[in-house]
Amino acid sequence: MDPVNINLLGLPGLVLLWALALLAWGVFGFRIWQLVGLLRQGRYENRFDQPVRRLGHMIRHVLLQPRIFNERAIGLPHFLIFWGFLVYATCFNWSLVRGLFPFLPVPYPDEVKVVSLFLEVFSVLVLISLAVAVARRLFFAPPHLHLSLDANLILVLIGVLMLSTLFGNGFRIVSEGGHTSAWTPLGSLLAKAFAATPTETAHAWANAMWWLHMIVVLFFLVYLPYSKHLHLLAAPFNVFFSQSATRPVGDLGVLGAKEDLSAGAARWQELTWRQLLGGFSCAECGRCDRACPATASGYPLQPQQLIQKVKEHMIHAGLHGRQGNGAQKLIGEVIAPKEIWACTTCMACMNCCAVWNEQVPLIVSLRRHLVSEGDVERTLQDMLGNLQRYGNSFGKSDRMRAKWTQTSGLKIKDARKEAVEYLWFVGDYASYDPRCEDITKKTAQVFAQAGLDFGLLYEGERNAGNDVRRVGEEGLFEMLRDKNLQALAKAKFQKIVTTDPHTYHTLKNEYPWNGHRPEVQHYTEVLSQLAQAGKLPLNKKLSGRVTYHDPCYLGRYNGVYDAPRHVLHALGLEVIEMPRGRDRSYCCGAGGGRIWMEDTEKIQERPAESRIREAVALAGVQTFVVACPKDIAMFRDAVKTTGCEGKIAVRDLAELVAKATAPPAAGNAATNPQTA
Amino acid sequence: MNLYVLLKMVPDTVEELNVAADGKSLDSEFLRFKLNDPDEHALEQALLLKEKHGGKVTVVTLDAPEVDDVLFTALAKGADRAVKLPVNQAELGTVAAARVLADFLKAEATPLPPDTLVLPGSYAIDDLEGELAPLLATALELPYVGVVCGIAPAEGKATVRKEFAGGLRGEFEVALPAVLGIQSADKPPRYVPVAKVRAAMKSARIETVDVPPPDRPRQLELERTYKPEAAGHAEMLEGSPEEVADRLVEILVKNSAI
Amino acid sequence: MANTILVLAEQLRGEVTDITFEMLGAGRKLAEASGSSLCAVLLGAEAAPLAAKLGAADKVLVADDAPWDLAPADAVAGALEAVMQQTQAGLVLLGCTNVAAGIGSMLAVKTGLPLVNFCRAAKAEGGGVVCTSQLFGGKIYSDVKLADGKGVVCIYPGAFPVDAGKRDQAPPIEKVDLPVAAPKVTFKQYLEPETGDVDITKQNVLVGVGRGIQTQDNVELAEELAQVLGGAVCASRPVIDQGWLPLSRQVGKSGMTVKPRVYFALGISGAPEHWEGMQNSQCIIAVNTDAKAPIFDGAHYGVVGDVLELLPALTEKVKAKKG
Ligand SMILES: Cc1cc2nc3c(=O)[nH]c(=O)nc-3n(C[C@H](O)[C@H](O)[C@H](O)COP(=O)(O)OP(=O)(O)OC[C@H]3O[C@@H](n4cnc5c(N)ncnc54)[C@H](O)[C@@H]3O)c2cc1C
Ligand code: SF4
Ligand code: SF4
Repeated sequence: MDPVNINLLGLPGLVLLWALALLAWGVFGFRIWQLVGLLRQGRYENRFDQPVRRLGHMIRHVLLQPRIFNERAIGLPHFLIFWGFLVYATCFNWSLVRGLFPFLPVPYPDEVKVVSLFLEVFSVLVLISLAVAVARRLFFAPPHLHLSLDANLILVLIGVLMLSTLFGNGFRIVSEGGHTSAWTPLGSLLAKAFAATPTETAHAWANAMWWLHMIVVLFFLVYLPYSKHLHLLAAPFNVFFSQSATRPVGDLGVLGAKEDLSAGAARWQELTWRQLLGGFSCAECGRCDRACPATASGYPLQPQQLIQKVKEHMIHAGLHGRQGNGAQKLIGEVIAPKEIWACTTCMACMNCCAVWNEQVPLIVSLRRHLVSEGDVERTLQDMLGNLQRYGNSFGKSDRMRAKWTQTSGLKIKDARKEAVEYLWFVGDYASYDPRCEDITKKTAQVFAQAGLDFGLLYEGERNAGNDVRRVGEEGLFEMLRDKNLQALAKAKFQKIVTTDPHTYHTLKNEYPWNGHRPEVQHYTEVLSQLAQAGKLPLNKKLSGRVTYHDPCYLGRYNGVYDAPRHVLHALGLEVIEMPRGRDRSYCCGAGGGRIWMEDTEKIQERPAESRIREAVALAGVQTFVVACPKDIAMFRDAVKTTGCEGKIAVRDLAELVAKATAPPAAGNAATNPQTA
Repeated sequence: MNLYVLLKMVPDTVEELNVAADGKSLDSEFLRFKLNDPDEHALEQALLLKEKHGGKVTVVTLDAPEVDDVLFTALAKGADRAVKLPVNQAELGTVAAARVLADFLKAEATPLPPDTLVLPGSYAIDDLEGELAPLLATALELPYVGVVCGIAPAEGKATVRKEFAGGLRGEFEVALPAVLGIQSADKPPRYVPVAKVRAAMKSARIETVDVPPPDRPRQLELERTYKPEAAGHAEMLEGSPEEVADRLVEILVKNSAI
Repeated sequence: MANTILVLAEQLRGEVTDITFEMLGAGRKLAEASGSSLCAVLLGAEAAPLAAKLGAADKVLVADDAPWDLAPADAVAGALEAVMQQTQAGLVLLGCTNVAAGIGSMLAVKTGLPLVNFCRAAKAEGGGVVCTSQLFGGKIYSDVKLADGKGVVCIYPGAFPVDAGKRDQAPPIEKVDLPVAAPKVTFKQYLEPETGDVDITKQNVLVGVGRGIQTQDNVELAEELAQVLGGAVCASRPVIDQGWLPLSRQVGKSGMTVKPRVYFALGISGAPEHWEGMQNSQCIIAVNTDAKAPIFDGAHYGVVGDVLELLPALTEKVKAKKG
């Protein structure tokens, strides 16, 4: 019995199936050709390096989807729907080919017992998953989940597919004489329910189900590339071509660019093809919006919207011919500069996106255009001017950079004059901010006590350029980078240690080094090694509970989570984690040059304030440990503005270490970190 | 419009200024130069006028350290022509500098075309001998308005806004050509990215135009140059609120706040 | 030294401005030290009634035949040149102000006299005058000698005491006729400061409040002081965040940069972000309960004490002083 052997409206089933299949695949193919055509208009970037590593990355993240499981409620259902889809897609094509070529000596998939069992089990799991997904949409929709008709329609279609399989099985059993089988448990169950149906009718129903299945799937095929479910097709490529597969995720450098990208993108064609592919891959799940500190604070930025806006603009302009005069401008009309400036480059969005979209480079490309147009707000402009002129954002003389050393009570080596093991790249805030001066001196003392052989570049150091680059001033980044590389080339050292995580990231991942990349470490890593080697003279045991804030550029950007915690444990402190810990750490709001920008509108709550409230809610925690000089400025301010003085104190990790390593004073054994 | 912007380099006060061994001039060891602030506004105002009314912006400087960077920056921002007069600015007082610049402008065209605006900054932080704008206006026999914070040109004349005090401004009508000392442009000076300045350095050219050096470079002889007493820490006032208030009133009077 | 010292009295919209009294005070001292007479020149269509206020001068010359106060700089310079010839004056004091901008330079060119700009101190010395000029935004002072006591000196506002130029006596007043040339610059109208909120960057006196002010009601105390001083209230970010004052009053890195003559930092700790916005004020007066507050490191005057106690007392004293 073959479902293709029917006559419908005088047409043989086989002809009908061919017609439908050709139409569907034709429309599908045309659309894909169109979309690929759009991508080809984007700028070139090389994402074809190390294909094997990329494949491994893709297999892991497409087939196992660990990031989907970051959100419990939808993790397993999505996983099951995805695998159900794969199984069904295979069986559908099998079924279709078998139907189109009746002479093939193969059975229909549901005629193979194992496959049939597999299909039935999956249908049930998928149906349950669908129920969960629908319930989530209807009753527990998380914020920023895009509740489109699109998504609901797809859930219905999948439901119809599952049901048509099950009912098809049931009717077939009835039509074939009602012999139930353990290989089709549900079909058998349904067959019992429909046992009274005459054979002929059951046969017709079975065929109808097969056709329904085919038509729905072919419809799905046509519909897919026009809907958000394009992500089914695009995401695997997106994952394959993601930067993290082969390179540090936060490196804003573009491989193999054929144009000068430093002027940024004003039109969609000036984005790279991979940035454009991101729009096709976005599942509109809203994970990035939920993670974004700018969104949460009420800034006009939603990373998901940004991705979507670029996609829609590209399709409108690129396919529907709305170009030339009267066309919408990408920047200004589609995306407002306010949106573009609100990002702290905290990487929270990219870190949770299950299709590995890359929002930060996209945002920076747009910023570069604004900068090249001179469309930069006053305060930021002042900072950039300062950095051009003095190499620091404080607008102080470059000769004052190492002024703190004069009162540090130490004689610190000049790495330009004598060889050192560690070159300490101090960074702007630790060098110039009066609030950090004491901490910087203490860090130096701790290094000295631990016998670390270290030195500075003194006034030869410049801002490393991390924030400058993220603000979109690529030329200035290059200028600072080159000056630093020149100074570093003249110094003698083996490794670099930095105070600032932003500096750390840039030196480690974005400086070219021409093949002589030294090891770059954050001071928390160095302290952790010193502690492990027993070189930190821990004269005092500290006690009490503290919480630790993972800086974005140390944690999410570079995966350093354990070193600072090791140090705190070594000091005798108990580290209580905040709910948003480690890779979910909540940005302080300073990154990406935000620390230099004005708040021109009232916002709901600064990110740093939200973070301080989070920490204050932890039982027994009165110390908020940070490992970034900018965090000192941000969080000490937030403690004041949230009225949490007296409840929590912001301390740099180095301060606590200095307290524990201070030469023993008479008496007190255990000390509270609060009273440093 | 025919727009001349006169740019002057002044010592950067972010760097520590020290007095040289002669007790009169500045110690050159740590001295760095930057563009005088109001001049930056003059350039911006010229660029805004050009964008709105068309024309050509020429930036003119005397020779000074770091001046090439400033000229290339001006070109990157949109100036059409950069001219350097090879006379060492450091040796000239304002009076002599005005004479040199006037000679240059006269050589450009005499009389200057009627749509010409000469735009120096309103003042400079080292204008010991007076401001450039009025001196230049006198030398060129052109009308002058100082402390200008807005310009609207029309046929053969311009309506300009002059800043008085406390936000009060006056509107004046000036016959063109004229010399206007610019205090602030209609918009804050634009940012020009490093990449554009670098591109200008590669593609654009700085013109050098010879002018006769002035016979008397300086009008004033300095007796002595020195640093004012540094405050270091606040002078602390003690006593009851009334006593402190009395002292504060004296201080307010001394600082002309009452 | 010259026998007569001229002061170009300055007025704005019918009010004699402070700089005039500063110049009269400075001129008075020089005149006494050198045995010269001090003569004020008052220009303007409605200037005559103001002459009576210039009692510190030995004589006031008034020209009210034309709206001289709004005449272009070259016309005023021409008029002054004529007065100098009539009075045999060799030393002229002008304000280093926006109102008088350019007059000094033009007068110097016309008369061939040297000009000393940004003068913040002047003393007679052996027949000449030694002027102290503040250059480079006040970072460096230079002394310049006018050997024969002749020259044009522009007086830096706020450098000389206003009080010294006020005398309760009516000066002799003399009308002068001055040459009026057809001006190439004509005054059209005044443009009032934009209404809406005050522009704190344009104030002479700012009363800055920080978290030490404690409540919104207390901001009122600062408001009163600002009012009697003719200034405005501004604040550190936390105060703005509380919504006690509008965003346009924020001073600092993410707010405005201000340079008033006097800046009060009341209950402001002096965080770098705030300091950045007000460090160039001419005189900073800090009031803080914490003797170790960083603001005291940079302020000119400091008071360790409760701002809530000091404010009412100070407002009263200022009112009393102003009469
Ligand atoms: C990126 C960034 C940008 C910022 N931008 C700005 C900005 O533009 N402007 C700005 O101001 N801040 C800014 N800040 C905030 C800044 O870091 C400080 O937090 C803020 O300036 C502190 O304000 P404050 O001095 O009023 O408060 P506090 O630092 O809390 O100081 C209050 C002071 O009042 C004193 N005091 C308390 N009671 C009394 C009393 N009764 N009498 C007298 N004194 C009393 C206390 O001793 C204390 O010194 C910014 C911070 C960041 C991180
Ligand atoms: S990097 Fe951070 S701030 Fe920027 S869009 Fe992503 S989540 Fe938002
Ligand atoms: S960009 Fe990624 S995280 Fe954001 S909505 Fe799209 S798929 Fe989800």
